[in-house]
Amino acid sequence: MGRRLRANSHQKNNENELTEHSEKRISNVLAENISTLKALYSDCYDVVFRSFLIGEMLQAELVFIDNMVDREQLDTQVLDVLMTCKDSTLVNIQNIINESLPVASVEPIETIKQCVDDISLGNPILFINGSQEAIRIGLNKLQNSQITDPENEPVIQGPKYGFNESLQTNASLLRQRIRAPELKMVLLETGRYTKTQVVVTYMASVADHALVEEVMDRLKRIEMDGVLESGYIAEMIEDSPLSPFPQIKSTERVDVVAANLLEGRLAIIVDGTPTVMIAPVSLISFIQAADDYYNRWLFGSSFRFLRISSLFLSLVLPALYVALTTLHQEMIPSDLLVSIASSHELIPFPTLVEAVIMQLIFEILREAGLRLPRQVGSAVTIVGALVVGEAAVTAGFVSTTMVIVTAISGITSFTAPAYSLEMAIRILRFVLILLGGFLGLLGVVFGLIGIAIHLSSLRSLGVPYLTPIAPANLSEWKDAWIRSPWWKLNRRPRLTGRWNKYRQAKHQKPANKKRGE
Amino acid sequence: MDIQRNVTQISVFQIALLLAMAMNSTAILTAPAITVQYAQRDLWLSPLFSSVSGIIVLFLAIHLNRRFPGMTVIQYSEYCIGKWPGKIISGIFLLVVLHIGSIIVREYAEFVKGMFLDETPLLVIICGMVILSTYATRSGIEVIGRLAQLFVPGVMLTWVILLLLTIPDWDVMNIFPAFDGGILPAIRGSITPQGWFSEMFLLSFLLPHLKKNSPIKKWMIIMVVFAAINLSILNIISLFVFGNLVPTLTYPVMSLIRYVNIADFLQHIDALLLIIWVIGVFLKIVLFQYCIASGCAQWLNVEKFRPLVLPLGFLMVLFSLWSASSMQDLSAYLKDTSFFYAMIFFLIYPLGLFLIAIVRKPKIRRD
Repeated sequence: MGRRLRANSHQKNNENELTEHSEKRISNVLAENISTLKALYSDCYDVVFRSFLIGEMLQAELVFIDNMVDREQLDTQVLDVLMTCKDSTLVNIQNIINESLPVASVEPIETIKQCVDDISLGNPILFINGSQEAIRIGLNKLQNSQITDPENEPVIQGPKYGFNESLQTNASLLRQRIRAPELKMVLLETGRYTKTQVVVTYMASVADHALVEEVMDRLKRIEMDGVLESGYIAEMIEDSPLSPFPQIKSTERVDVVAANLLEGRLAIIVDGTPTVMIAPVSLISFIQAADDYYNRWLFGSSFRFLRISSLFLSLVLPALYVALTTLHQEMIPSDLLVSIASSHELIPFPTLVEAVIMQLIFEILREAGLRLPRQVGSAVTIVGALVVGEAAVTAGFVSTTMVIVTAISGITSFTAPAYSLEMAIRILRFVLILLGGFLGLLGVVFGLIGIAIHLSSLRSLGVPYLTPIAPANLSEWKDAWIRSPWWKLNRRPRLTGRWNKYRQAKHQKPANKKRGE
Repeated sequence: MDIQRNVTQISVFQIALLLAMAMNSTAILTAPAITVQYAQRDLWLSPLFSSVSGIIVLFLAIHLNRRFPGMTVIQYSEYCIGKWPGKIISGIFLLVVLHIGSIIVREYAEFVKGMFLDETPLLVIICGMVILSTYATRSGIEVIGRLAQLFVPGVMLTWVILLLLTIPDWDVMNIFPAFDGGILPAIRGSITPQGWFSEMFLLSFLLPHLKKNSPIKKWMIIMVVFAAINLSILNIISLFVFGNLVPTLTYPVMSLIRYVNIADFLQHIDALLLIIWVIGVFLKIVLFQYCIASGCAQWLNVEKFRPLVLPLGFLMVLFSLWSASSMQDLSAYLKDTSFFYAMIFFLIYPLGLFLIAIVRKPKIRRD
């Protein structure tokens, strides 16, 4: 008990110290500043305090975090220059900045809090005796990860690179995609301890400014210890956090983010994760794949339509099978019924139980395949799917038709371009199976109606989730059920892009003219 | 922040879809069987006559709404016939709507139980539906409008496909001899459906939420004509397929769809009928429940109708169990009583209000 109390008081002290110092200005006595910082960074082996003399007379001290600075640059451009400099007019901070620091990003700072913020970003801070300001030297060197393929969202045609873990790289990738000054990027910081940088980006000439403000508000309201992934933020700013359906789209693809920005949506980039969030979105956004827009429109349209039907099938097929075979056998064509019945003849379980067990096993296999190291993962899938499945059928535990139904519902769910939508479908599938088992077709219809009511009342940052289906906007169906040719898609989506309606000139359909006419 | 946020609105198109669905969903099951009693072979003509009362009640609803903007029948009755008489009649009116809504629930439950789930208790079938309609009603008029928009196109498409599949069984000669007893039988056959059409007076509860300057009259006429033609087509197809047998069937449309057999594979597609019909009847029940709940809130001068939805849903379950002892009871009611019941409250009562409003020109307090 006593120990815990002591630990508590210790914690309190530490916190008080931070808040106490946060507004404190830098004093002109060097030793005082250094002792403040040393107290804050006690027991931090990686924080380096390097004292030296500027021009052999002026006391100065560099504070930085060891592995986050560009040491080479620091040695040659800062220490070397300052120590060998003979000028005695260097007492003034401005003079130092202007004359003897050959570094691009240099800035005077005034409070201890700013110092701490910058040190944790990796920027060295230069304190000079007798000056009320310190100098932030922008020589941080962050661990850059390579730009790699967006592994979870592959395309056949289209760019083969995605975001990575570094905010700087991600922002620059986006900037390379949209070179206009209208692309705004607003930097925020969240997370009490992680101080994660978050960038809200939007097209100033297209996006709804009220929406931007709303997002900023919601982001600023977040108060948590750490923001380690964009999922933290998504969950904190969603409209209906209890819904199984994702209301914010995450993607690793630069082109997807760029396309959505151009439609008037916002993107939120979080430092430390390759997943960028896009909002507001509708259900249809989760079905649109990047490929749709790069392939020729006829194929884009057909594949999108195929995807929509597959996802629907994935949701209802097992439930329909259970409902029909248990309660409405008379509705199955007789030949089909005979083959189903013969395969189910020796199975010890009712169809409902069989369906739930099979779905569960399928989900377990997927989860196991996901968690295991990649080399082992494929083995698990093969063993699980082929060996166990085959054995279960021959042993008469499950019927072959049930295996087929489960496999089809699993495979069709893979057509979802967005993993988050697929998860919603997987969960709801179980609900529908249960309803189908208890109330037959009526139960399945009940389930679908319930899902429809839920979807109709959902909103993503204020935009109805089912646009453009309900509330309907027929002209937007051109990019919902199908992907019309580009020369048809003149308007931006209404609810996100209504301030700047047209995205291209009209009448651009290529005319069929012969050369020289 | 968003144009649609905080404003509960419904578009004229959504209203049209909702009413058309509400109109047709219960009618399609029994219409041919009921009409044929009087109209015999001219049953396809009757719905066109029935639609007259539909047009009258819609006209009344729209004009009363124009005279008392932003109000429903519950509110303006007080201006027309005085505060307390208005309250009393509105209370009865709400009870009637509740009763008719519950009868629709019962009708649905009897059909589903009789045709698809004979061993499931009636209460389960009823409760499932009322839970869903409560959920939808609580979500508000905006969501109801969206649901109509979401479901109706699919339902219509399936419906058309189902009817097209019956083409091989048509015997067009069944229609003759037409007008055997003159036009009168067709008019007599139109009487019961008049009751269904007059239910469209519930539009009165939706109009205050209509977006400003919508072409409501145009769409309502399109909707009524569409609903009437749909019923007509249904009647004529039943006649084509079953001829003189139509009067012997309880659910002619159901039998019609069960009759479909194409290439020995496409058969027993009555499952599809069940799906679209449950969806249609769901929309109708939601419409009724919304009207009851919002009407009740206005009647009691409560600002929000949401807390009333669940208790009223519970009442609907009870009423639906009480309202008839058996299916025979129910169809007797549907055939004979329902017409007068609906006519008095959905046609004659609003007509009275309308006449009083014209004569007395009651002033509306504006605060």
